Amino acid sequence: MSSFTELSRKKSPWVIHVGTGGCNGCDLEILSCLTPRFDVSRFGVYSTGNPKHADVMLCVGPVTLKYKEIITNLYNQMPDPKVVMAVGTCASTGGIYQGCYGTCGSLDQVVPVDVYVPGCNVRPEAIIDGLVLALDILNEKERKILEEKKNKASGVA
Amino acid sequence: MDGLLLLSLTILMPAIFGVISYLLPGYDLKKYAVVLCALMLSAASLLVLYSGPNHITIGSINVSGAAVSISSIITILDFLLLLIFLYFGIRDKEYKVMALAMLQAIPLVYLEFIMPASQSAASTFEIDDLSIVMCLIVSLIGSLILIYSIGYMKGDKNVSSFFLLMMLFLGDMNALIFTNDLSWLIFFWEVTTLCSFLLIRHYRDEISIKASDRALWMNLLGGVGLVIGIVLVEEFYGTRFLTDLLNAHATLPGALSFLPTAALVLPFAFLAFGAFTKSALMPFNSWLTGAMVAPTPVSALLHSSTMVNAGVYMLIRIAPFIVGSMLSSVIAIVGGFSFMFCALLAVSQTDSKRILAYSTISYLGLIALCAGINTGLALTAAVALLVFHAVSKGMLFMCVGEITHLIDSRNIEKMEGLITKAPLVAIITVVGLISLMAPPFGVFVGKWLALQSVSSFKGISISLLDIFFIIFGSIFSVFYYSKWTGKLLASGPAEVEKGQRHNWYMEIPLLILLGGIFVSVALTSLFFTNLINLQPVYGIQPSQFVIGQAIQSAIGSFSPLMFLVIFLVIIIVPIVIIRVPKASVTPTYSCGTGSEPELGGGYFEGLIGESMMLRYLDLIGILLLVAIFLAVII
Amino acid sequence: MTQIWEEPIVYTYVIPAILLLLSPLIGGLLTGVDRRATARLQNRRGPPIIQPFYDVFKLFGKEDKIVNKTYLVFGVAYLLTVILSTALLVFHYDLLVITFIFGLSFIFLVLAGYSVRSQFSYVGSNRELLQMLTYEPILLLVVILIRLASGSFQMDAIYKVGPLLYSLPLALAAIFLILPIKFRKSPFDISAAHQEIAQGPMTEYSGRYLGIVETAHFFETFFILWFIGLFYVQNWIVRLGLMLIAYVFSIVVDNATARLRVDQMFKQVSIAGLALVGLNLVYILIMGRWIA
Repeated sequence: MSSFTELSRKKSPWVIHVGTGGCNGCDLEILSCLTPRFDVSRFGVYSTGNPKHADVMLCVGPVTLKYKEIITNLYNQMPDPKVVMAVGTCASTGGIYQGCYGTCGSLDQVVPVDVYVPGCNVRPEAIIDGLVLALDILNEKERKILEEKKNKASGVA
Repeated sequence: MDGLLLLSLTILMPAIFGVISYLLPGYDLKKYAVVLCALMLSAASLLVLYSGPNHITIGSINVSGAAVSISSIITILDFLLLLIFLYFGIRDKEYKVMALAMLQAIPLVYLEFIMPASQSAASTFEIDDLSIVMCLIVSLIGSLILIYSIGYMKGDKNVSSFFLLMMLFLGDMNALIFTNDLSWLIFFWEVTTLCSFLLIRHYRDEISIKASDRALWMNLLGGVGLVIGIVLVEEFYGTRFLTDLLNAHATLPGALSFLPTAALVLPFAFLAFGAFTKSALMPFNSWLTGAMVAPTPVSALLHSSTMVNAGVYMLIRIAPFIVGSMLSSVIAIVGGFSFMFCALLAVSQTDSKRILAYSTISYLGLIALCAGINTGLALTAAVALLVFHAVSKGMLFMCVGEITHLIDSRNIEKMEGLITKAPLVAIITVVGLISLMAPPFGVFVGKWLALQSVSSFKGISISLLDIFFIIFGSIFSVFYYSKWTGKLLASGPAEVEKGQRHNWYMEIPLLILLGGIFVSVALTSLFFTNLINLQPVYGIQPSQFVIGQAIQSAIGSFSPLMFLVIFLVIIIVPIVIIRVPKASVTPTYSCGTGSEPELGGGYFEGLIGESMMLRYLDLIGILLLVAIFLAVII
Repeated sequence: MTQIWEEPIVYTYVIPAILLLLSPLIGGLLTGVDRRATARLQNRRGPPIIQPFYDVFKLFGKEDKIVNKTYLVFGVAYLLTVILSTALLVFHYDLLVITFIFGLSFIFLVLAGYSVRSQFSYVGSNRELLQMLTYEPILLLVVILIRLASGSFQMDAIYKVGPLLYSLPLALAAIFLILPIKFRKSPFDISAAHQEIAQGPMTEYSGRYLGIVETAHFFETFFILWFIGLFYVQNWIVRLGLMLIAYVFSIVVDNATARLRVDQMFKQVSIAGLALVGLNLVYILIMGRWIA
């Protein structure tokens, strides 16, 4: 049963797409993944706007100062196991906004990032590639969580 | 058990205790008198249940050696009442009240003095199954409300007159349901009008006085109709005793022989008119919604469980005599119209007592609808609804009273999240609200039986409208009840519950009534077999369609007990099994901003508010009233 | 020599029990077929047919993120009530009771949406109540028409008269009209309007409890289609065909229309639905196809 659950986790990544400022070019590329040409929904990807329903957070843009708290809230509301993908060069390293006063720099200054997908704009094929990498990380994380739970239970008992 | 003893326990004892508590000084002593009265009244009603149907005749009482006939005492008190109403009308400068009080005197004079007295061997008090059911409702719920009002009315200025009137009313209500003589019934009917009038104006401010005057003139109008109806009953049937009417033949008297034969039901048209005003059906609904300015125990006792039930009780009593007539169909239409449109009006209200008032009128309309449909199934539904609605509605009014004490507001918008601030009251209110709209509770059983009886198609008639009324009315009820329930339950992440102040005088009756809801549903089949007895004209007895625990008619089946158990399992198993670990508590999704939303709205004031709808509804209501009398003549 | 499926104990107890156990699987597969067909209509490939089961199992494997306990209780109660009404439907209970208990499940969903202080759930529950206001009268009137045509609310009576399709064609059309509301598809997918109010009443559910709500949707799909199947119970091929036509209809309408506003839905569906039901009533009265 647990192997079917692991298989299901790989087959059904639900995505929340968050844009934190920037030029929105990578936003458009993510949206074009959902179009018939690239059709990411054949991998079971479903773009939900609700962090409580999502497994993967696709984050775009350098994190502007106003958005820092919001991104943290959204990250905290996502149930485990979760994966954060920094999509685009701005999210990965700050991009052309590197050193600007209005941004926090890159995404990993605010939330722990698992997959970096560079590009300006990032190509849809690269996004899909990053997603596939993220799927295995999901299962790894869940195994770690279950192990921690078991250790805590046996450590306390 | 001796019938006379039972009668004096249920009728005279509360009145005597009322006087005693009026005379006792100090709130604590009054408390004991009220509690004692409540306990004895409940015990008395259970004794009535135990001893079963009975006839008692009391012609006269001995006063220092001379026999004074009770009829003459009642006649004198009748005119005294009308003088009291006239006095209040003059004092408040209400011309309608004065005019109606004087108008009512005319047929009363005719009835008492000019009309030849009919001789009859019938008993003056008759305890039959319907009376036993009503006695249980009045006494048990009344006693619980008395205990509740001890907690509620603490610190009020006019407490003595309050308790006097409440207990006098309970005794009078019991007399109303046991009496067999129609001319005594009008007296008890008008005493309830007096008690309601005086209790509504309890707070003596301008709004209360206006509301009480409005209640007074509408009830007096009904009283006029009732007296005319009783005069006509005696003219047509030659007797004024209800038990005699079953076997008597009606004949049109000489003065009215120009009317067609169908007009034999004319007296019942007038009696139905009186019943409509008492139960505040359309277009008389404004007195009940205005009466909500009274203290909550008054609303709970008079205006939801007992006094307004007197109106539909009268309709159920006259139902066997108008089976199959056009009058019966029009009564059903009036009831259905009230049911649907008062439910629609309730959707637009935010004052919780007003919502409950409209809901009461709505369900009384449903009972009137069932009484108007006039088949065996429908009358069973009417009696069942009478009981279940009284229990739930009385409990809900008491809950609203306690909530008002806790948060100082009656607005349901302010009751948001009450489940964290006052969990006990909130849960009881939620159960009460769910019991009025959901299967498997009693009100649903009534609606299901009503739908079964309307679905039997007999021919194209206005009765087809009844189906629409029931369906739309029940859906509108779900609307406003779920909205209110949802408001009570809305709570953010794991708010800390502060210690709740418990006022046990108010809460123990709530808990008892809560148990009463579940017990009454579980015992439905027992209730149908033993306590509902239909007249032979219907050809069927409820015991014929109760098989085991299930209600099985020719066209459908339902088992209240089984579904109650399943419902409890569906609710209680998740409550017990689900655990919320502390680490997993998160705020709601508000786009990540972390701000608490302000929620509200959805009342559609512009579309279905009172100001929009009542003009048309009152007009249609008046047309329906005219239709009642036309239905007799055509 | 009677076949095994004509034995009384088999068709009264065994076949309904098997149907009840299979109903979430059937509902899930139908949902998957719907997503695949929609994708094909949009010139995409779409997820595999068993995608809904991948979704549900993934959800059961997630950790909890919970706001309060009340809405979880109502979510589970919603699932249990839908299972109860499906069980009553396959075991041939009283049709009126079944309809009301099905309505009770939506009351639980609405209460679940209200009991968490979130603006999306609140608006979603308001809209869900308005949707109930739209379809429930039509559904109840169709049930009463079925009672007139077959003589009783008990479902066994439907098997004794001729096919309901011949007496109640317009009632079936009215049911088709309210199908998109029940399946939560365009043009009436208003309470869970993804682009407007997140997921409506189901916004705050996550993990296992969202899996429970999704499973309840599978049961609901099966319930609605099985109810449509009641219109031709005499021949199981035609019955399955009728259910298939209903489902294809809902998929096509979903892809061909855009979402309507709540008041537009209420006006259009109420008027059209009540007109259809009224015409059908006149039809059965004139043709004499009713049993008192």
